[in-house]
Amino acid sequence: MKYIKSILVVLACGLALVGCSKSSNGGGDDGDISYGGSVIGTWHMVSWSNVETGADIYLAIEEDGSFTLYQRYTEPFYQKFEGTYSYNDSVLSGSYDDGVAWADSYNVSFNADNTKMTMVRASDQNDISVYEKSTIPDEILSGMIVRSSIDFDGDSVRFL
Amino acid sequence: MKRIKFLYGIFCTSALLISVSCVKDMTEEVVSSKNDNTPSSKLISTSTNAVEGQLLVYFDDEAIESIESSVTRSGNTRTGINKFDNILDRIGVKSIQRLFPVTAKHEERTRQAGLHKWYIVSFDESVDLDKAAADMAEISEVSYVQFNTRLSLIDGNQSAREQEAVPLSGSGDEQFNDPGLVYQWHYINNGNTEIYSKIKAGADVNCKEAWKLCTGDPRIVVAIVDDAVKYDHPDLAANMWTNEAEINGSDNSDDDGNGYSDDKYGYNFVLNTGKLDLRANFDASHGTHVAGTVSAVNNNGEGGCGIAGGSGNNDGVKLMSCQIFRYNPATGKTEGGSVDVVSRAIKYAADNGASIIQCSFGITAGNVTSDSTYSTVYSAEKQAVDYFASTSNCEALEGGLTIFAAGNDMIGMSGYPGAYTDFISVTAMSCDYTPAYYTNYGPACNIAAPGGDECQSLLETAYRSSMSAVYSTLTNGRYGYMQGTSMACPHVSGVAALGLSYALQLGKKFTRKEFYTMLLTSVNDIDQYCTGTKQYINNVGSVSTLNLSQYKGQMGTGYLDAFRMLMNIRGITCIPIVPKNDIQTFDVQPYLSNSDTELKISKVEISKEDMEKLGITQNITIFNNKMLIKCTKTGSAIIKITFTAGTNSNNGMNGMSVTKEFALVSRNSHANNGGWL
Repeated sequence: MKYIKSILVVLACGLALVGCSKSSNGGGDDGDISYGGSVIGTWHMVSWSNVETGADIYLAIEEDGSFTLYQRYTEPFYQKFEGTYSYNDSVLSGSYDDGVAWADSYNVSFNADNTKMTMVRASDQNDISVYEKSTIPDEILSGMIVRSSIDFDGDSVRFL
Repeated sequence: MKRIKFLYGIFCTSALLISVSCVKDMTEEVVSSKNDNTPSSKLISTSTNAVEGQLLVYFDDEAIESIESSVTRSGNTRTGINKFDNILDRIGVKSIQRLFPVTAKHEERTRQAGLHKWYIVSFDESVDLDKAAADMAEISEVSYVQFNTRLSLIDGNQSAREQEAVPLSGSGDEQFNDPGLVYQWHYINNGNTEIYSKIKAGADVNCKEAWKLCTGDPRIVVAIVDDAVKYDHPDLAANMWTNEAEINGSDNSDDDGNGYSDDKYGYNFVLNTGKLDLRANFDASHGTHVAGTVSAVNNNGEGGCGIAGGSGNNDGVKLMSCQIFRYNPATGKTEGGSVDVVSRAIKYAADNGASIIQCSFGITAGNVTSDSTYSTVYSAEKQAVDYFASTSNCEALEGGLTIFAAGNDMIGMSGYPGAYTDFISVTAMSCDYTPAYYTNYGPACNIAAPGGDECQSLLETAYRSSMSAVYSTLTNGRYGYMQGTSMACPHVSGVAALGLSYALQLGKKFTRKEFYTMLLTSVNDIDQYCTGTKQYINNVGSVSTLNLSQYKGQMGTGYLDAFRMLMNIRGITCIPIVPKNDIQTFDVQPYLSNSDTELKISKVEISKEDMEKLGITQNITIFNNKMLIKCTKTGSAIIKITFTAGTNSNNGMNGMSVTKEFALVSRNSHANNGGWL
């Protein structure tokens, strides 16, 4: 009895440490258990919906509530976006400095050592991005291969 | 056809130069298809402008073996075909030999391409060319007879303007120390109004950003098919292609067995010697000037820069001088450029390691107006270019790139050979983004690049300044200005060379078509500047006004951006779409390039597997130049969009058909500022 109690105590402590989010993790490695965790840090998207998109995304999330997004997406060079985010109950949402809100909010989960982050769109559980902790390459950080989003002529029609 | 006069210098004392292209004066009396076997159908081209005492003959497969042994046995005077040899006797044959000399290493490929069947017959110059050709065409073993058409400059005046002694204030922040870079607005245009009062910053090929990624690679060889390149110019020498076997070998001997002797930096195909023809003053600087644009040595504290000229560490792309023209001081005229000369030069480039032929020459626009005419009339030359295009000389590319100037005739179509669908034809832009006044435009033009517009600075400075033209190396060992689509063309060759260098460094490989697709879509919009008027000096020396709206949509896909090209080499980009249960009309134009020039789309392809993945239940079609797509699921797939780079004449001249790959990214919604999240 005493032995079982001890095990139960250990288990309880373990659960408390990792949080309770056991949402299913569609992306990343099989067998990864979803954990709660910290969004703070620099992330590099390694897969989107399990396919190669042709996009390259770096996301730096700061403690002060700001983020920087570098994306090679519809243009061959990187575009830089900045803005603010909020993170509550494993839901990450945000908006860009130009006032445009993110297209959706994201249910976020992590692997055990917080080196991998999965973002699933709130409105589409099939829209899954997997990010790994990373650093931003110098050529991007220095701005060498970056154009600010405001350099474009704001042809936003195409995104509707 | 009416010959359009070139612009020539309005001041005889100052060496004002003009343009570029050397032109053929061909009338369109061409013969019918090669398919019927009548003698007249075997006659290619006419004797207009043909070299006297020469004919090119293409023999049948069946006859070639015996011809080869007879020619050898007879010391190049007999074919062993009685009827043909009788003609040779009658015309006083001097020699009959293969048009393309044997290069043992490449003989198998040469024979596969059928090039071993071309022979050049030299005979008494007083013999009637037409009759000799007609007689030869009667022989059944003869497939075609082609006159050896000569290129002639429409206007014999070709010279350059040496550097202005006016110091320009540079911005001081450029990464290379070459003092001439400050004049080279065509690489980095900082909007220095000392060049031209209405200059616009950014009207360049964007070397400023490109050079941060790549500056060249000595594994890439660009053949300059032109006047000789001054191989010992202080700002070119280090980037010259060198044939070590010949440099270290003996004079008058083909030390490397490539069929040519003493070809140390290239070859003089005009005089059939390894000695390149160069003059001490700056006459005939054309070849040297375009070579400098491609790969003048960067960061050597000397002269100017070249687009792929390296970083100062002996790492620029290499220049091979394939001389097809020479300036004859006795006559003051330019010689060479006949079909045999051009064909051999281009094959040499393929057989000796070049990945790009840089060709700032052509036929007056309008003299040839269809691909089929060009292929027929310039058969040997076209076959040589095809041979080059299918020869792979670097790890990053399957095949070779063929880049031509569109011509300077102020005509609304490209000149040939550039106009040929599979070749790139380059139009010219000025330092304020406007089309250069002289440039051809319209059907079969593919892309624009800086070619300069000398009239801009001349008119402002009472004809003292040429600074709005293109600055590069001259044959007198110094530097100066020239303008033309001839100068725009090496900007494209230089960026192509830079792109191949970057691809090599990234370990990437492309087919020729894939590479052309990237090149032709790495452009920014030029149409917005095709408005209003500009002044120029016409061919009688008066100031005229040009209406710029006629160039709108006619300059090719846009003006080339080297940085965009290098970034495109890194990988494909995405097209975002939102799934819907209905068919959507989707405009893909904004994603094809950064230009507003509408490109005609012919098809969109997607694999069956990807169609299922995205819930695309019926084939994607094109309507009104937009994509009709029914995509019902989220996810991503690869689509290939085929479109035309440039416009078509609907009468035998076409823009280049290219296919670009994208990742179609289907998500329930996208931020309307284009952000990923």
